[in-house]
Amino acid sequence: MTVRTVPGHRWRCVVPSAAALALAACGCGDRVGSEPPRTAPVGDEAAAPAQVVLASTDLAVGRERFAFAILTPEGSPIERADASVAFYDLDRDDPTVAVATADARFYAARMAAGGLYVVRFDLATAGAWGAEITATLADGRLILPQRVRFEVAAAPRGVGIGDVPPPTANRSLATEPNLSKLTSDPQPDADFYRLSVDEAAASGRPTVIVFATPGYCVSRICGPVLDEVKAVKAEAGRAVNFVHIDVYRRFDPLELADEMGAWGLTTEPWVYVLDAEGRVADRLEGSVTAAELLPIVQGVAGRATR
Amino acid sequence: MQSPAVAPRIATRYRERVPNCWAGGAVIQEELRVVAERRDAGFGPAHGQRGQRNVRRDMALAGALFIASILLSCRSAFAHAELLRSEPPAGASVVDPPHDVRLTFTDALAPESSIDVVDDGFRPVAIGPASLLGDDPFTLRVALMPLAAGDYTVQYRAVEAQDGHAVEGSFGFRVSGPGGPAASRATSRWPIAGGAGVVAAIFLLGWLALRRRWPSVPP
Repeated sequence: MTVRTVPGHRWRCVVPSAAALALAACGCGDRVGSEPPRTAPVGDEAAAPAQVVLASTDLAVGRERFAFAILTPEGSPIERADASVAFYDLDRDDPTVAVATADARFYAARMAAGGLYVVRFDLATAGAWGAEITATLADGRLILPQRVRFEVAAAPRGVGIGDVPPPTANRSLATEPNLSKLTSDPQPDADFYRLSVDEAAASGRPTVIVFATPGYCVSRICGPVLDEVKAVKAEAGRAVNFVHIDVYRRFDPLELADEMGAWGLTTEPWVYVLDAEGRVADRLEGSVTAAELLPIVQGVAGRATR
Repeated sequence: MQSPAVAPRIATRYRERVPNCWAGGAVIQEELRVVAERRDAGFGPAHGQRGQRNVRRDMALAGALFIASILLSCRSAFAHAELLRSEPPAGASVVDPPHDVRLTFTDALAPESSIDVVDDGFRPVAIGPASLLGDDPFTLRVALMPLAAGDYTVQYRAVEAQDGHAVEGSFGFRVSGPGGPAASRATSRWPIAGGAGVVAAIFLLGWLALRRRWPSVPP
């Protein structure tokens, strides 16, 4: 994800480098308690050089999806490392003691190489936070612990979990029969453009909404993410609605879609999952894998059939 | 294999319209359609043996252009600033604490690019904001406080000068130093006690050698 400045709208994205940011997600159990910072063992063995790129930029108080990629210095993704994250509230009296530590699980993308590590964690307060990321690679080497600072807002910039989405009468095939004007996806699935969000939310079925622009994606992962969602659609069947809203309502020249501002989105792509009542059940910024998304969708769909 | 007449046009269209691989596929599909329409309309060589060979050549050329253009568009899609090298290098363990951090990227950067460096307590250790080197807009530099032995994390945000896109990332490095844990581990190979033992051994051997040369003197 990279920054792309559109007139009257500032973007911010994080680019994980050349290889496609695959998706990974995993929330594993948290171990809550005070623990000292962990470090790689000191010794003569060399630490594995690695970069860490945070994929989550809109973090707010509450249960959040903390996602990151681990790359070589050259930008190639490092997959299937045993990674964990220790969280530090830097505004506390003793910011050197971790608030909690959680294991991250790696999810690989179906469509492209690479992966993403994700932790689901409860961020209790707004302010300055730190994350100490440690990882053991498949060959047994440790990376030097990465300590990254990030800000936690009191409320998310975009529509948050539990919220009722804003009225969204986005264009669909009913209002614009020309698919090439609805989407920049060179191989669109027409099912993604049959309903507006309002119609989907009122249908009594869960809905997956993808905000992405495969044809003009600055982050370079819009297309791969949309492909991952298509894979989820193939397995979810007709019990779930799928809606794709392109980031741009016009492609030549580029004009930002109104829905991006209405939903408070300043990065791309985003995936939202609405429950059967139309409330936001989950939201995933940036890279999303079918491996992460499918259980979420199935869970929401399962609750809808009860 | 590219036709000089066609390649520049496709290249221009790609730069204008194709920011990534998926859009590149759409454009080249359109190119193939145009080629097929012109063939069907009878433009170019007449049908017949010579015409058929030219049609196959045209389609083969279009296919090659398809592949090349996908690669070009993918390459252009990947043309974001990437970290080319850093000093200190990612994951490095250095004995002497660095005085600054220098990051060199593949693209020229804007002045609003930034570098944060923190220690193992998340405390900032950089002095002032990062700045571009005067004669090198590809390299971002930030000065550091005197660093003690320990682990440090560099967190950067590189804003491309051309289009304002930002790339972020972080990496760690370790200062072992003469007082650091890694250095002390290294010096443990020659602990003080061991060194004294070597000295003692030298003296003992020397004493034995000299004792043989000098006969004992009776009290």
